[in-house]
Amino acid sequence: MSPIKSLPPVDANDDIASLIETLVETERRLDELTAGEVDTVSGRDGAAFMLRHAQDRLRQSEADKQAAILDSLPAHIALLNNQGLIISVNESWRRFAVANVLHCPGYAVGINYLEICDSAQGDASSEARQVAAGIRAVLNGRKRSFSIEYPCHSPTEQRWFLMTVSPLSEDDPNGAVVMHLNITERKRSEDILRKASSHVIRKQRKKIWVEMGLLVFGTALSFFLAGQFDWFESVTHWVLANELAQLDEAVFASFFLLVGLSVFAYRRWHESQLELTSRWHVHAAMELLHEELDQRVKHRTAELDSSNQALYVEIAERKKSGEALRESEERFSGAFEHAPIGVALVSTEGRWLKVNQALCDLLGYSSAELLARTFQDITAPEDLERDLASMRRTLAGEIGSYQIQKRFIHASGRSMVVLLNVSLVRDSNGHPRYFIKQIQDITDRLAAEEALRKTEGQLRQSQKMEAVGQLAGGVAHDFNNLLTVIIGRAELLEDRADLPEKVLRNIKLIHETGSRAAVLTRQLLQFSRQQILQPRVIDLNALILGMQELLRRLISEDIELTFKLSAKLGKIKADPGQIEQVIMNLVINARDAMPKGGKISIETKCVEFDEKYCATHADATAGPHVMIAVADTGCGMDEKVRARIFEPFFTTKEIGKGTGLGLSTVYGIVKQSGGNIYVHSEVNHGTIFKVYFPEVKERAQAETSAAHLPVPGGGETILLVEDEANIRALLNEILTEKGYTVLVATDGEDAIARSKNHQEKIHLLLTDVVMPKMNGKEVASRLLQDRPDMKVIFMSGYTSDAIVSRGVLDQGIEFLEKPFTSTSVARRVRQVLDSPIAH
Amino acid sequence: MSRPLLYKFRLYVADDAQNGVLAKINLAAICRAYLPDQHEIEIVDVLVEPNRALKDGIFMTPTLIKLAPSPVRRIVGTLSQTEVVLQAIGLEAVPV
Repeated sequence: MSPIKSLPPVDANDDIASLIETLVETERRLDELTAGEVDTVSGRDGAAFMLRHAQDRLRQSEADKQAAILDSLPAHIALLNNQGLIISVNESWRRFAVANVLHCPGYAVGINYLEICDSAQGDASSEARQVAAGIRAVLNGRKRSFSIEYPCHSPTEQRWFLMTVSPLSEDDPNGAVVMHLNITERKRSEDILRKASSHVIRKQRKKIWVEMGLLVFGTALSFFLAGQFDWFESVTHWVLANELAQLDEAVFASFFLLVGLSVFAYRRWHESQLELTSRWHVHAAMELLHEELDQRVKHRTAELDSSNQALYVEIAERKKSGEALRESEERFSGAFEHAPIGVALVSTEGRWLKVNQALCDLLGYSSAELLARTFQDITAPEDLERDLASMRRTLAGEIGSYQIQKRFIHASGRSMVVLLNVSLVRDSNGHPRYFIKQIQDITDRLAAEEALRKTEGQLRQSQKMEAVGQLAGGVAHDFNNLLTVIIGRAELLEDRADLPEKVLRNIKLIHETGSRAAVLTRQLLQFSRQQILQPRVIDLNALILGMQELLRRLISEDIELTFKLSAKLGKIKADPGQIEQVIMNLVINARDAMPKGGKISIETKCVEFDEKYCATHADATAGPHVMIAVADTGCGMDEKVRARIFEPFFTTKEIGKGTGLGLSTVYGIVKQSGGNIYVHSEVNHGTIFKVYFPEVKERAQAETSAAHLPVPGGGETILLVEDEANIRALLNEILTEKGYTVLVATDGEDAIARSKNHQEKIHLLLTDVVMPKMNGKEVASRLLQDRPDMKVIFMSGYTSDAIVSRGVLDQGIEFLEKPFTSTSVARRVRQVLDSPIAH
Repeated sequence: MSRPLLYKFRLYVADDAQNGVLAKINLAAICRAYLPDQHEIEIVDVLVEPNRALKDGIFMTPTLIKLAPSPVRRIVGTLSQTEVVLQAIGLEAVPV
């Protein structure tokens, strides 16, 4: 039968799966029914099936017990596998290893104990080799066990250990148990005993020498005495002759006997003495031993006491320092966590090890997301090498720390500029452990610096513009005078019936071209803000339609301009020129938001502001309003930009592209005209500006339609003051033709003189504002002293402080803007003459 | 007065499985408190002696069998609810 057969057939998979399901469900039900209080269940055959939770707990408790037993043993025990790898150690081993890690490395599970023994150096290296050989012998099955006593002295103490190695299981040496037992105490006792017994032996040896000396001396004395008395010969003789009766001989014999007895007695006595002495010596040795042991015990007790004392102190100290440590750790972690700048610990490879909240906020990642990344991942690629180079130099010890400005990629994908402070923490051996990085977002700071730079640029730019504006204004003034003559003369010629058609066509062309030039000069004046507000009731639709051409010229061809004008649009009261500028500026703004083309739509409609609307829009007033909206499909703007767009000199355009005044001018005009402006914008979707003006019920003064109606003249007397000869002649001709009596003056003094010479009534003063010697306003006020009923019309190409304050004409002052046409002059003159006296 | 009744218990357990150990402890405590000097406890390990379990019809451990006095009663579980156990072995009337 092949072993393959025991594997479940593939087509049984489903069955097995469903059985497992049943098994799991069965166990769950059993647990449920028995409230988890049952360990085993058994079937009809009596075989008990232990439930899973009981198995787990049993296994765990067995493991716990074994571990507890091993851990409670004083011996240091490690289990090795057949390769010599430490697979498990008991608590004593662990403690000893931790305490002696520098002297006896290799405590940790997974370390090869054989290799450590093989590579041991120093005093115990030869024992270590023996140990290695012993372990190998046990692992190979060559030996049942192996043991060795070896010294393992610490710097403070002499220590001995007994090491035993035995196979992990009886029959199969697929591993070994290594046990070290501290036998220092036993060694010491043995040592003392050995010392004591050697002492005894030495003393005994000395006594024996004394004894032998005495014996030799006694014998020698006997021989000497015998020789003296020739007793040897006598004794021999006596013994051989058996003659005992001689006195001398008896005396000698007695002496001999006495000596012999003395020697014998001495010997006996000495022997007993000797015995006593040796007994006494053993006793003394034992006493010595005990004494020494006692002393040792006392010494050890004292040592123990003092070490206990030290331990208590140490524990107290540790507690204290532990508390201090914890406290300082808490303080550190508090400081770390709540630091206002980003702080991180980064591994030497660049992994984030620990990051604080500020950093997470800064980079837009959660702590977990950040820890799953390296700093390289979120560094802007172009800044990476620079940072890595600095890190390498720090790791190499060339520099202690560094500070760089670099870009990170925010979680949202945008790049952000940070100031990075990096220092390296090394362990006590000088090996790099991790970097401490402080990261500060300086995007805002840089933006502020940039903005400041821009503002300065803008200021310079605006100063330049101001200067250009002054120049342009001046040029425009002279230019307007020229255009006035050209347009006026052309107009006069157009009315001549005697001219041939061909000539008339040319004159018409001159007229139109002159008019276009006049529009340009007016724009120049608007640009230099030297125009005057002349609020009138206007039809916004008509005004927009009139601007169509101008607007189309403003935008490029890839921008589509559409109009959506409400047919039932109410009227507003505003300066049409100003409103034109508002629209123009908004369109330019829209154009610049779409460098790649798009759509601009201009919409008008009537809206009613109710109280509710006004409650949420502080500057709105309730009532009907006329709205004009300019929308684009451009880049849009964020909240920050949106909040500042109306600020003077704020621009997002490149230096030289915008004055930063366009929208602030718009805002000023709208406000000045009693309107409101709102902006809605979405980045990348576009912007819409909505301007609201209060609706007025008056009828629009339709200049365009009135222009073609014949203008009535009159017989009144008009004093004309104009320093420019051509305009003076033109006006004189226009007004005379309309039937007026015209008094012509070349300047203020001339006018005053002519007024004095003229006894009749002067109905109207028509004067230029800007003149040498005396300006128009002065002329008017001087003349009005004598002729209070006289009406006044000022003529000018641009504003002048003399007649205008805050850019708006003073109440009651009539104004004729240059360049004018004959029609506009005639109409204006008629209007003013017909109006009631305002002053 | 005759000798007090002798309570004979047989507790079936499986090795040192937790519930069995608890049952042993709880049974010993109950006997000490309510049946001092009048009880006998026999512990049977079903893993060692499955045949005895089969004979006694034990199909779960821990199971306590009260063999005497009759009637024979059996209780499954850790015996941690003393009241219920006392009731089951007919001890509620016995003065403490």
